[in-house]
Amino acid sequence: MKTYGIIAKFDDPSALVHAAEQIKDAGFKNFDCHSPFPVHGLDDAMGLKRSKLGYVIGVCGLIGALFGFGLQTWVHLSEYPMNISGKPFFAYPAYFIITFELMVLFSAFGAVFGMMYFNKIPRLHHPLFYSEKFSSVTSDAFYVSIESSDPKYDEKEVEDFLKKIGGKDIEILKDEYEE
Amino acid sequence: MSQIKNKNQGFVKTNHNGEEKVNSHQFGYWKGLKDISSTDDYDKYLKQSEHHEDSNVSRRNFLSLVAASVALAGLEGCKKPVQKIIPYVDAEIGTIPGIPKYYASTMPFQNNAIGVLIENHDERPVKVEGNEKHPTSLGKSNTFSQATVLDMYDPDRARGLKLDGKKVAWSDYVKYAKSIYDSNGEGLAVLLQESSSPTLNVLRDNFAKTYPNADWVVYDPINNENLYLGIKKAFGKKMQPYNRLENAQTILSIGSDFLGCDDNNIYHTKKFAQNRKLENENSTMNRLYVVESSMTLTGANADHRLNVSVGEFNSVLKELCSELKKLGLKTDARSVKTSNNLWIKTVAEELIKNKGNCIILGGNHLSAEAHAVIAMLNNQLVAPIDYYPLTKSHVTSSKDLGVLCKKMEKGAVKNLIILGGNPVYNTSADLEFATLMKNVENIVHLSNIYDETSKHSNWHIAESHFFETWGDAMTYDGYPSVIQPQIRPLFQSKSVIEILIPLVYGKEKRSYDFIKDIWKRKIAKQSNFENTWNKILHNGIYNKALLKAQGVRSRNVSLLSLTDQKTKENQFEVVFVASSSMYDGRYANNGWLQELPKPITHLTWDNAALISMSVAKQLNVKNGQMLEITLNKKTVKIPAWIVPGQNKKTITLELGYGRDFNGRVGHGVGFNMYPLRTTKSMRYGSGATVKVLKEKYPLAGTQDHYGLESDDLALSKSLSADETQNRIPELVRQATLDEYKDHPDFVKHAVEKHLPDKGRELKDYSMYNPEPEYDYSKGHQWGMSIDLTSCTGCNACSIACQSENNIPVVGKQQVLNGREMHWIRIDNYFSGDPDNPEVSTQSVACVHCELAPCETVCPVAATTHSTDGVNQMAYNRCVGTRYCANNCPYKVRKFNFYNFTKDTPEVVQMAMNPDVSMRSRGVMEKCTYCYQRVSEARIKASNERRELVDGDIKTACQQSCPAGAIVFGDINDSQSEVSKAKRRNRDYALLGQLGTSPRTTYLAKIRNQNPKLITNHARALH
Amino acid sequence: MSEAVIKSRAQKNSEELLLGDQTFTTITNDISGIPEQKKAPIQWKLAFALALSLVSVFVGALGYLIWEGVGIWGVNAPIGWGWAIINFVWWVGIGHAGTLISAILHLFRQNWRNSINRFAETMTLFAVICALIFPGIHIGRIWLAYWFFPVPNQMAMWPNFRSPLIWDFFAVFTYFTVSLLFWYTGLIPDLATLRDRAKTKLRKKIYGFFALGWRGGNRQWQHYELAYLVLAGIATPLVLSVHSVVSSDFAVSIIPGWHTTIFPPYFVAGAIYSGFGMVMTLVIAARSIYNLKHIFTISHLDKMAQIMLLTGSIVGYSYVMEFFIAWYSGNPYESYAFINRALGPYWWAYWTMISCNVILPQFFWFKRFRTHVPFLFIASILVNIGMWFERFVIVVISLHRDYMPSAWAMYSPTIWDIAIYLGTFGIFFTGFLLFLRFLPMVSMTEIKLVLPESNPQHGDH
Repeated sequence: MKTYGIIAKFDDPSALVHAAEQIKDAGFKNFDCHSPFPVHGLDDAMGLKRSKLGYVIGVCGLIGALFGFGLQTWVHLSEYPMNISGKPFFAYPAYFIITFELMVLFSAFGAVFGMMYFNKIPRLHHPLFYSEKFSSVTSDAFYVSIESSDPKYDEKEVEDFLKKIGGKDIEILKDEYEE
Repeated sequence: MSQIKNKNQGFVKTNHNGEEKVNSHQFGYWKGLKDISSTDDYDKYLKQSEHHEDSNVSRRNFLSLVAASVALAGLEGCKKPVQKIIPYVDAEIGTIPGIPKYYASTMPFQNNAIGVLIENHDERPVKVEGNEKHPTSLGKSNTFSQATVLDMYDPDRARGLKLDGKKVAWSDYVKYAKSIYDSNGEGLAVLLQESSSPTLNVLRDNFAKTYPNADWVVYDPINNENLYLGIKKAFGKKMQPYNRLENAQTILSIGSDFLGCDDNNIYHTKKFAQNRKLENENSTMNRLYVVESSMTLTGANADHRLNVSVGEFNSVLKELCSELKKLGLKTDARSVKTSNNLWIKTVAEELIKNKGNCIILGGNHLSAEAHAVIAMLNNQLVAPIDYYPLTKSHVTSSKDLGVLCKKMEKGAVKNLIILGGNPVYNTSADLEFATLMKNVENIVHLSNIYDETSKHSNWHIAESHFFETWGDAMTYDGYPSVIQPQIRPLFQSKSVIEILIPLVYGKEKRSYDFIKDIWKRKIAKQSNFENTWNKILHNGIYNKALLKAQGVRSRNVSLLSLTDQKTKENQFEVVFVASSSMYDGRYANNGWLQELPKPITHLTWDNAALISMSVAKQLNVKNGQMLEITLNKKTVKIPAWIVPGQNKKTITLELGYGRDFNGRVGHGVGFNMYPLRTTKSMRYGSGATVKVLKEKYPLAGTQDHYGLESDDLALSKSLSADETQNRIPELVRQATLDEYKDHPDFVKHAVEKHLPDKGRELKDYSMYNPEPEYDYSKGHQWGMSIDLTSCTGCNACSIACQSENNIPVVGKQQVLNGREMHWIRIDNYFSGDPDNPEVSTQSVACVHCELAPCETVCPVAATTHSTDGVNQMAYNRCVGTRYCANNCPYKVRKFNFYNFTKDTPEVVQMAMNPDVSMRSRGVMEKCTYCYQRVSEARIKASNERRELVDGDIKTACQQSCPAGAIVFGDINDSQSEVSKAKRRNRDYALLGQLGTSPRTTYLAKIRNQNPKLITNHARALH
Repeated sequence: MSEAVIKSRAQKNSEELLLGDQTFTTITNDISGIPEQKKAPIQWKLAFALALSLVSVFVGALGYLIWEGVGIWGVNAPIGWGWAIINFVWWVGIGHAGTLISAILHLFRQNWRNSINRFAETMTLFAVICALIFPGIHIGRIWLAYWFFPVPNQMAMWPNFRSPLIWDFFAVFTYFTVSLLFWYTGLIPDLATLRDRAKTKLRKKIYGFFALGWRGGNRQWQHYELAYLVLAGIATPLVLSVHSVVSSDFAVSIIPGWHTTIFPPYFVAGAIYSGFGMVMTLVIAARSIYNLKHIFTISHLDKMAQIMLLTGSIVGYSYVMEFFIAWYSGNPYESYAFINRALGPYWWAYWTMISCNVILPQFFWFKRFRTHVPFLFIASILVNIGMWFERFVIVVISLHRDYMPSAWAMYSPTIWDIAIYLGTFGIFFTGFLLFLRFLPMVSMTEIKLVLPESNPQHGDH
């Protein structure tokens, strides 16, 4: 049956960063480095492009602001104009606060759900979870994973390569779990 | 039609309480229109109406019949009272549901007659207005006539007849009366209240004929007996003086509260205020001097007030005489040693100066002798007073009462008929009327509620409210006016006349026929009486006076009998006064009156011993401290209340409280002062001693700080007092007439003081530019003007508002929590000498700001502005954040903290105005400018295809205000009264510097002070 | 390199933000050990029981309130707002520390905040929940509270967007939502840790569900970090705006003592002040109960005390300025409002406020007070008493004597005001204790970043 890919453990953040550089230089694409916390410099080491999340958030914020100001203007000018304290219908200074709040609200949603979208979560099942040892990656372990979908992927070569750059307890993970 | 259904089903709907169930069947109401019946029903009904009121038609039957008549409207309108009565406004036949009808009638009040107009909604009387055609009310009203609606619908009213506690039929009483009639009436006595009814007069004469040796006694605890006796001393016979205040430029009141609790106050207030309306700085006004011991409404309106204990009134009077003598009046002032008091001197000079249009009024605390002297002086000063004859049946005679009591003591009285009144409660304590009643075999008591006296009587008969019965009354100057029923008796009650007829004639007569007959033969002796009668019913009054003003010549009255009642050191004089709310106690079960903040004291739900601040300090007494007052070995306990302007020697006690009767509202409210009141101290008594008790009693005053009294809290001593003093000139702008002449624009000064930046308009501070798009220059724009110069602070507006707008009564506890609901608040500020302060009165309701602070802060837009510039509340939209109330600088918004109307008895619900929706819990409410009246007028005008004209709309407060201080109308109509008022140079906006541009503005208060007596200069100027 | 080296470095480089021999492993064990305890410590159980009983008090009081109406409270005319609004502002204020610590200090790269931010954020969440209760229940017709929302309806009834109460409503709800998202986002990797350490199936399932399948891959960290940064970025102006908007409930009115432009900054400062006070109280309690003295170190308390000194002094400055302006404006109503605060019948409230908010923080100039734990604990509680009185002074004293002396009155709370207030403490602590029991009270991910070896560049090259 099909394999998901191969994982290897590294000692500490610096080791992980070195490994990442070498894997990148070796021309691998579909690989990832797992750590309990974001490790500085990994993005460059892995040669990742800047995240697009920023634009998403910006757009959401803009929509929120427009919606906020639009709603208030529409309500007070066209939907149900009322003489309140003899203030003008279009009392824009009063509208700014809600406009701002909705901008913040929308961009916050943008940030969180955008992040989830880019990270393809929630995804409760993942082949990586089949490895017992890998579970320590969320507390104190540092792992590299190379997926079988990578064009340069060849099980033996990759295994040797990982050993060469200092990977430990190397594991080959199947796509489905079997007892 | 459906409207009728909704309005009235409620009343017949039976509820849990059995008691209620009974009366719900007794209402003169139809049961919705469920059973619309055929024309023959209606014929039956017409026959019915030939029968007399007490016909044997079953009530239920009657209901459906009335229903029939309504259903077949156009045939003949709803015959609620069976006889024909003529609607005041439109005499056309038939009832249009939802359109109120106005019937003229008369409110008998002691020996006076107050002409009223009663607004009937769907044949249900709900509101009282003054009758413009009537000389005593002149279209105005007072607190009592406004509140009487609630008396009518009092759920605690007695029902039917009872003999020894068992229900009996009317016929049983008739039998009893017959039995007396058949006997020679030995040991018969009738005890009545004061009345001016011509019919009663006739009855009295016939009574005297039928029972030559029976007693006819008239007694009221509050009365003018001494006045009449004094006039007798002066002019040879008892007469009723009629003070034509409109012709008096100088008025001196010696203890007379003619603007407050004294009789004929509507007339007096109106005529007094009439001469206090200033067009501009060149207008003139009358001047009021008051000599009094306790701050009354009259004293509060005085231009100069002299604080003298009642015991010393006589010496003031004597000094006045001697001063006047110097100035050429014929008084025997031999005995007088003048302390030549500047005040009295000045008054005397002015009286002489204004000879012919000056008047001296004596209060009812004065002795007969003093009244005689005053009458004599008035006569020499050619005071504008008309004297009208009095008949014996009219007024209290304590002599007669004394005789009656003697007889009762001897057991000489077998049958005592007490018609109205409550002698057990309110006769002088030393008579011990209750014990005397034990010696009487049969006692019949007619009263609206089963009260103290009823408990000692074996017969009890429910008394009809004047809404329910035929009757008549007569004004002081002899204009007979008719009382016509608005509704069938709710509780099978009877009137005085109905009780007396079988007694006097030994047989029944329909009161209607009887009265009509008397009018025909004795009053309106006209060829075509029917038309005259209809006209009388229509107008409520007969236009020909029965009495003629008497010419008087005063004999010389000696001053020797005028002696002072000296009060010793650390003793006090106790003065008994009628309560401005309860009067003599008759209104004890009236929630509106109980909760109405009294003028000056602002007390609700209680009476108190009014003491001066210096006494309070001397005895170390705080408000609400219980006092034990002893006079002539009789003792009462009552809490103290400190009042500015109270005399050091005087303790003023309000009568009418501490009732012990079947009244759910008034039972046990306040403290009964009658036990202290003995025959020799009916009006006041000196030599009282006061013991300060430990316990304190919570008194619910609605205005805590007089601004003179400091709240005794650490660090804050007089902090509130001083600040209040600083603000008075700015809130209630005022000047003396002379200052006004010198500075016609003085009202402006106070504003500029607080403007942040001189030379800039308020609107320059608006963050909105350009200016808002609301154009108030078009259409009707409502506005109001309140003239502080003529406003006396009598409370009539406040209670009229309550009646018109269904304002709930919240009870003492809630008032203590500061949650009273009155839409109109009467503010009093005191300035100057605490013992004789200047009072500034100001009635404050929502001022309808054009830039209303309350509106912008409402999160749900429940309060907004109408196109005609009224600040409106959408009750149904309100969620009750109370932010609007917080942000209202005038603090005129009232919040329903609870569901205050939840347990309003069904009977009381009938008193509610159907044009105004009830407010539920959690909703904000406030003055609406009586918008329902605005709409009503607008609809009426459009139906008549015409424009609204000034005067079409009268707000409830405006209509009631006897001083005519309130003007309401269209400020866009340059000719309207309100525009004129607002153009006057005294016009100012309360807190105008806040830039709220209120629609209600005030006309500054002008005091016509005599330069010779001015104590504090340049009040409003700086 | 050897463990020894790391440890020695750990002590030096992490400027006492972590004490003892800490490694990734120890941190993970220490922190996730707490929610993994079989039995909760006895103090926790007692506290939880107390909290629950207070919640029941709240439920009872609320029921009676809804049945009878706000009349059961001490509010009257003219004091239309009483404890309800005071408590609302007070809780919102407390709710400020959380986002401030996580967001602003994050932007300033103050990594000492890493050990207290989770704590503070959680506190914020429950504080804001308590706050949000009050605007809902203080109104006259509670069942219509939803009319605050702009809900389209057939009557075309819309809120009045000019009303500060509506601004307030939007601000606080936005603040709550954003704080919730921020808190949860920060929690995801830690949830993953707990998932991976979970022994029982149920725990694994539940934590797994909320961990959303986090795998700690750098392709995830990349977006995650950006999202977190941006959240911090937008939460910063938000946290500053919220209390400014709350302050406009007063500042926009025309009541002397309310109508002042100084309110926004002064409210924000006050909020941070009280917020840190509350964090301080809770941290001190937690570190002693769960002996996390090596994670919540003296140096943390010291730093918090310094911030309290700063904000407390800003507040004190505002008090002075208020008086100065009241006098300088020459507006007699304004000046009286302030004299009445200091000397009027409620002088005691005013001086309690002054002593707790102005005098007390001055002790924090001295390190020995900043590091004296019992003193800090008492001080932190006094701070919030002081801040409560500040709101009392503003709400009640301003209302009870404004323009018309004829309408002046006094205010006193009823048993029901007190019951509701205590009840919200129940809600707050119930929530917070559950958090301590089932979630990592410190952000493991972030605190690991405090360790030097978390930085690839450290060590030998």
